[in-house]
Amino acid sequence: MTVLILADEGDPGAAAVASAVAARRGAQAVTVISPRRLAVARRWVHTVAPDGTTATEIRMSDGVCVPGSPGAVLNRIDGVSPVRFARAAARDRDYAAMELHALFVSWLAGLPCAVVNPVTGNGSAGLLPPPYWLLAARRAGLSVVRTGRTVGTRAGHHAMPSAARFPAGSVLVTGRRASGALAGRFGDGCVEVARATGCPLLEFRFVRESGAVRLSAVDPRPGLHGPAEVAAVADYLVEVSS
Amino acid sequence: MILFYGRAEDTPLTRCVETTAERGIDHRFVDQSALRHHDLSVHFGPDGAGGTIVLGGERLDLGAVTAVYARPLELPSGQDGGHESAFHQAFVEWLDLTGALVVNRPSAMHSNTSKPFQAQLIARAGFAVPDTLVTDDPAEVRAFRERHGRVVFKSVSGIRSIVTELDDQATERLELVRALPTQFQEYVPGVDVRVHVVGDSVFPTEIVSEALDYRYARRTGLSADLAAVELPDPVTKRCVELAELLDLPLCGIDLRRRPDGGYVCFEVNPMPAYTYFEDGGGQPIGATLAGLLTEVPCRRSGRTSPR
Repeated sequence: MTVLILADEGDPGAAAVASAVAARRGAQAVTVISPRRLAVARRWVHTVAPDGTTATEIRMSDGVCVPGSPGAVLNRIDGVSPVRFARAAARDRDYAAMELHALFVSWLAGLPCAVVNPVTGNGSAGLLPPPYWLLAARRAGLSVVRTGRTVGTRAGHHAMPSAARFPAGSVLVTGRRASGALAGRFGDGCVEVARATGCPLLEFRFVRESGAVRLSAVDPRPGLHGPAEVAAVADYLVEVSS
Repeated sequence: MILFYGRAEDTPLTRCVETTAERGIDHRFVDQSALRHHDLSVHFGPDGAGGTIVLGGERLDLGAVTAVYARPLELPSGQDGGHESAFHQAFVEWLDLTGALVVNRPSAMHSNTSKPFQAQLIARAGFAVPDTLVTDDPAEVRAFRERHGRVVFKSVSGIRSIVTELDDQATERLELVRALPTQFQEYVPGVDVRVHVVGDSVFPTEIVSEALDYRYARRTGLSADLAAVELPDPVTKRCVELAELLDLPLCGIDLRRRPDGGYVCFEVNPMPAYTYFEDGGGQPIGATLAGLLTEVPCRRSGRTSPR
């Protein structure tokens, strides 16, 4: 089954994962599509049947079709830009952007395969605010930093960090597996966050603060700069697409 | 304490504020038109979501807030400066993450941002949805129309649009869809029923109108008559389940009862202007909402946000 990777052309992490999947399953087992190519596609046909099942055909400008039933999708983009409306009035361009985004979301949500990470009505998991992840991690039993924001001068400054923070390491979750320097210590909690949020690919970043190691950020679209990270993601995609 | 967030000219919000005030329940109204007078500090971390809000001269602990009814609209012109926008963004973020009952959480309202996406969720709750096509290919649209006979079109996104029939005149302009994929749906004959779900309470209102889109009946010289009706028990149950699935303690579900008695669901409005239907159908939607905000002081539910 094909692994479909949606990524910008300048995304080295996505390119590395594509190469790793190809090395495991052959070049025909992976297709990389950029948002630019989606934006100038020759034809979109997306249907929703009365029972909610969907079917989608996207034909590129070169005549090639995006795999209609991929085995898995690695999504590293936020949507499709209305490039055909580049010279339109701002109001029309904004409308086109909203419409294309709505179509993009419905397409991914309707695929009967694993979409990593899944979309909501608002779009990809990458758009979720940082506190969302911290509270999910807190519920999973992880120790987290305090964050927040202040508007005006009369409500105090609850968001100020109490002490300096220094990078302490990270954990990468791919499905039920955790890897990285702190996986032995925090892996179970990180996997639980991935399960609870429905996002199987997450990078957890920890800091040392006042002598304690705490979670400071979660990235649902990690850079995937190291070979071990790339291998972990490729293994996961191959596994879920089989 | 109950917080209300929105604009003072928004009738669904102010009616609930008035009902709450009449009942003597502790509440505050955060008017989006007056955010320049308010300050806010929110925090998230080891002790969950919390903070302080300063309304005029009054300082309040957000931890004392048990429920919120939020109808966030665009900030009024001239009231959308840096302070106001920052307040709005921080408050909306807190709404998504607080442990208080929030009607409705902003993240939960996003299901309506994509109508075909929401249709998939609606079907998951057991409702039939209209056969739908989103395309930029005129030939596909023509074939769809031939299959269904009557077809309507409307926006794909949550941007409000008037439902319009694809008649012969509109079909002549179909080449325009090549510029942007457009949503087409089979025309579903029958009678419109707007169902407001408030917690576990269900208020169905039948709308009898000759207009294709009853919300705009007056524009075409037509009228819309509203009356309270009852739904079959399974449909009522499905409405509550759909509201729960979408994590919407308050919503307006647009159904159509077909001539054969079956129901088709078009969409779910996460921020319904219930007062129009309350005035027409005579059902106590606002009072029930006020009761929900009062009687369920710390409901923690939902899938869209961990709290």
